Amino acid sequence: MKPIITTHNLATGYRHGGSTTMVMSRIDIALQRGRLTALLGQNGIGKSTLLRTIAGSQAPIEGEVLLDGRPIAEISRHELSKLLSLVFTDRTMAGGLTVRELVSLGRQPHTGFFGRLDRHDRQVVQQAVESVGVAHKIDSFVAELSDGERQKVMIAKALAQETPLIILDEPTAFLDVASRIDTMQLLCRLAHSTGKAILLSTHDVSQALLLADELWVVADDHSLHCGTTEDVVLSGAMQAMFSSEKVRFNMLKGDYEVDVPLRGKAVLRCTDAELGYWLSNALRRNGVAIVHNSGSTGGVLPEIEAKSPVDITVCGTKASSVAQMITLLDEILRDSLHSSLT
Amino acid sequence: MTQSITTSHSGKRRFAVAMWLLVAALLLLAAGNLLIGAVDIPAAEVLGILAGHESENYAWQIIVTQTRLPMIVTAALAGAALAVSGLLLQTVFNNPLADPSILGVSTGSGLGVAIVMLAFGGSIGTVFGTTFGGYVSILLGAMLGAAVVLIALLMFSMVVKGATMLLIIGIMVSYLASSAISFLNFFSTESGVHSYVIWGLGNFSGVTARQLPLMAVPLLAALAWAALMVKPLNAMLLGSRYAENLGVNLRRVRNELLIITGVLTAVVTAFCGPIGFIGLVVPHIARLLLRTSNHNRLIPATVLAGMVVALLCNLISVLPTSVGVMPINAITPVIGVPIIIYIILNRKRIFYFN
Repeated sequence: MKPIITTHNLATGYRHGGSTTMVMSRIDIALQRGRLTALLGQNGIGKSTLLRTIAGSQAPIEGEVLLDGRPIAEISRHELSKLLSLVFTDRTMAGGLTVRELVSLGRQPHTGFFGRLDRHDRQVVQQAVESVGVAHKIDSFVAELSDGERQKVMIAKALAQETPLIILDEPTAFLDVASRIDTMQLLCRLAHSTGKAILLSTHDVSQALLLADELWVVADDHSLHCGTTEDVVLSGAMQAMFSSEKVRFNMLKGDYEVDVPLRGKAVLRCTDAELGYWLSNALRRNGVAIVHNSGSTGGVLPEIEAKSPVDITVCGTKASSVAQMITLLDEILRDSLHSSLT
Repeated sequence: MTQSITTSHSGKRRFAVAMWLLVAALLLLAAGNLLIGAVDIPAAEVLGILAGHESENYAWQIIVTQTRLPMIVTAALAGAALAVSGLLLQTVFNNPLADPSILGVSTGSGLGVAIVMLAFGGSIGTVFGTTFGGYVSILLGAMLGAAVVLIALLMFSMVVKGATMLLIIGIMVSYLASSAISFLNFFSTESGVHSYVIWGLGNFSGVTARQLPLMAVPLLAALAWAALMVKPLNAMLLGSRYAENLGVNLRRVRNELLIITGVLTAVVTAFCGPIGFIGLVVPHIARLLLRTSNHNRLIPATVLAGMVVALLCNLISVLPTSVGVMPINAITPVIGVPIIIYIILNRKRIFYFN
């Protein structure tokens, strides 16, 4: 299928009088229909500028944005409101509207001068509210909703607008973990079931990697890496998102972590995958590197054998919790450090 | 009013009840304003005069038809105009504490009037002057002053993002205009200063039946125009970025709304003086009464509530005292301030704040 948005050699940035400030350049993107695309990048790297440029609310420095093959600058405001809907985290004065009234605002591009809703409009509103799962709150005031519900109502407004493209600027920014996952899942489902192109910017890397079909990663040098999520991850683009040497992208976990200075090594023997994962998590945090399955370490390295969370043996001594394991290991490492110095 | 957004049944019933209550209060207060005043006129006589009968007491006849009736119409029009002006400013600036007097629009109008009254003070009579040209020049002065302040505010609102900061800028602009007015007062004639001070106290009784159309026509036109803006006003509740995405031509709509508020404020200010608090308080009364921020119900309720509040203030001002009519600006804060403080203290529990 033809992508809904394409750009060729696009450059984003700001114009101040005569001077221009370039934020990102040589952007070639194709936004696919029926997919959830996540835009990742550090704060201040130009995500919002890119979204605004794609949405036609900010003029590019170079090149142009094609919406459905047409330059977005040539599309009238009214027509654009039927092609592209936006969701922000802006504070609104809409607390005194009911959910139904707010979602009905999404029908404005389709209604006449007075905004009167006909039967079809009301059906669209009802469906939009149902598909984001807030139908039971339809007559509640927006002020009475939780942050997560409010964000869903804004998504329902975007659905009621009936546009083939929805762009969301950090829709999960102020949400708790549960609503964050919920919202991302909702967007993923909507993209697949409605065939709309959904583009969102987010800082929630783990959810984006789990649920986004496509990733756009803005690297630390302002270059853009696009593609199917796994292709982008495997290309190593995630590491390029941060310049810092200390923050490392863990390819196995799909998330960022900080390097801890190494204090020593240990051998971990554990057959249970879950237990093994969380024990290595504890060891890594405490600066202990794990040497896997070395049969002949010559008794130099401390050995940890774990059968269950309450049955962990550290160099022959029993530990009945991870906390005790860490304490024992601390002593051993201190001793070995001491003996290696003397 | 056309229904721009589907309303739940309870909302519709609440709207109907609130509107009937407001109409009842309006009629009651209008009757009160007709009957009560410095001169005691029997109710039967007032009714008779209203019905078109000649009263044997010619003075009563004059008082009812030439003083009380125009005063009631003036107060009702001014109240509706200031209240709608406040509502529009609150939506345009996304700020529940915006109103023509706080943002300095009234003071700007006042400065315009001061320039006309004080700079050309000699040629203008007691409060307004006696010639048609006199009223028109005062009206134009007020509109020009309001326009200057509104344009300045609009320009500041593009640079300053925070709503509170904009309010403070409005207050500062207001101070500047006041200081200019003080200068004008200082350098002007005593009679000019006197008429300006009297005008500044605010009153609804300065408009004669003959002048009334000059006030009513622009106000009714601006109110009708405001009623046509329901759709973009509702979109603007979501903030400018959402409104633009819904197809609202923000620049045009904002300009239109500022012209409407400018006309509403300037006309009232020119005829009645700079009247505070009605524009600030009435939209909140309407929202609390209807429990909605939806402009298609809010605008008619704000019009009626504005009339009710203005007539109430007027009734208090004409209560028989030894010194005559009390200034309106002495009464509006007594009604307005407690309501605003109540709203600020309870903003966490008031639905439309969240």
